[in-house]
Amino acid sequence: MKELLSIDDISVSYGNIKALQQVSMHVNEGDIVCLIGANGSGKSTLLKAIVGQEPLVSGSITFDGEEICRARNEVVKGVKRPRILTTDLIAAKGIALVPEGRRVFADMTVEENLDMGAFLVRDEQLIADRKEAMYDFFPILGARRRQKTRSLSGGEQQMMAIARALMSGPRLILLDEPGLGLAPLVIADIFEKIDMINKQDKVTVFLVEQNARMALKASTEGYVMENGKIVLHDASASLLENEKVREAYLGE
Amino acid sequence: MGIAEFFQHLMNGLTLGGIYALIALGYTMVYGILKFINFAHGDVLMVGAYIGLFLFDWLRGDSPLGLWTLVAFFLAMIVSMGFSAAIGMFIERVAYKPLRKATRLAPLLSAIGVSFILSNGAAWAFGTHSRKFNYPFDNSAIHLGGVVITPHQILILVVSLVIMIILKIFVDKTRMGKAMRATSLDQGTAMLMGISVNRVISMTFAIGSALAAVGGILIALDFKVYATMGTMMGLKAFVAAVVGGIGNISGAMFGGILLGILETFGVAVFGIPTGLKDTIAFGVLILILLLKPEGLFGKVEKEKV
Repeated sequence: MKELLSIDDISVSYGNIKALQQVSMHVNEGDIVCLIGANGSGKSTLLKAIVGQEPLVSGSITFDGEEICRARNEVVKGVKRPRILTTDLIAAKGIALVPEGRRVFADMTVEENLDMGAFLVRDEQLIADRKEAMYDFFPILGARRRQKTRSLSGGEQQMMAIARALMSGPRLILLDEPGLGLAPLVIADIFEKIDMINKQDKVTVFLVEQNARMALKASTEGYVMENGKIVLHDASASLLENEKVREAYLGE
Repeated sequence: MGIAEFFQHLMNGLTLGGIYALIALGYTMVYGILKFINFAHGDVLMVGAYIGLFLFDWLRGDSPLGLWTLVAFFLAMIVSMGFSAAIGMFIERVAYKPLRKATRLAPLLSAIGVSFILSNGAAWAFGTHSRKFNYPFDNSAIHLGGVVITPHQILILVVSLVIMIILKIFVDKTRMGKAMRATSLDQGTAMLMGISVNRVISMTFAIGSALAAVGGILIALDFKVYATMGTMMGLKAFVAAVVGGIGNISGAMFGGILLGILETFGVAVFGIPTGLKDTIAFGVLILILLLKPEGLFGKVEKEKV
């Protein structure tokens, strides 16, 4: 299977605090891969690093065979300086992030938010078609298309953030805690949608969650992060049976 | 006060306010995106007025007032808008962009520096005397009932109204306009959508500076062109932006017009001495800051988690 995203030995620091230490991960095309870990273990930092919002101290990130991020100090003299892509250019490569806390454009309507998700799509007809597809996929968004996003509930905002990310027609969608702060029924609904996005639209999914059980059940492969380091990597089904995971993350 | 007198003051207030609004838009759009007050904005207005003046005089030559002078005036205005837009983008690129990650005070000080460079540069290059910007039409007053309206006032009303409508449509309906709003709401997330924040910022400075040029040319017809003409005008337009709620485009339009009306009525109706006219704006500023610091249309910054 083809490797779509490759994270090689990356480190990120906030001053003296090492947020990520030599993290390596791989996401194959068509998979749902999850990363679980406690609050503050560095999961969100990793996603931000992938989209170029956190500078790397070491290592590099490759998407579809093309290097998109590299640590600046690893630029060797004499060698042609690798391009460190800015966030908007990384988005243009086909990576969409649904950020933690949803980050909807609260003062814009649902429809305008979706328009922004399709900012890179220049074909008006395609944008209109995708919007209709989103309203079919998330009927509540269709019903509220002319409402300001701030009037939506948390679950609706999460669906809108996912729909907005899908508007660009991404090859890889990164989801940062899609279940955070939502009721169990709403979470189940959102995970079902994520599965459909993967199975029907063939979008590769990289999912970061505190809710380990949901994430492992939804995914094919899983990574466990502790204090900025990857401590476990296995098939999700095996991780669900893993003694350490059961004890630390599944509360059994 | 009779009805005619009331409408007279209202007309005067609306025209003054229309110009304040045009200039206030530049402050508010830049603030909305960068959370930074561009104190050189008033001086861009002055540069725009000079460019407009020179172009108009050159295009007009010796022709008598007529259709050509009017065409020449609008040509001069449009070209000046283009030049001012380029100047605005250049200032941002050179004086503000390198400071984007510095403390918030740094770009502010840089803007004050740019303001002095522009006004002193203009005084050096064009002299300290004020130059007359001739009316491109016969500006004799028109009597309508008891109200006296000049063609210049009509020009101001029409031009500012048209520009504000175009701007509103641009911001509400077009792809780049929406990208501008998204960027002002959340820069990081806007970039995730593939929006180039640098381009949006450049565009914002271009639009704001072009509008300032229009405002500069429109007031120059009444108040002449000189190197420091942008200072007081800029400050008052800034007050208008704060009154309307800085960062809010409709607020800036409303704040500008409100300020124009308050100044006119303050002098004419409430008997504030003409010499103290300029204090009205700043009195209003202090009142707003005390009573509704976020401005009339502003929102209290609050994040829903």
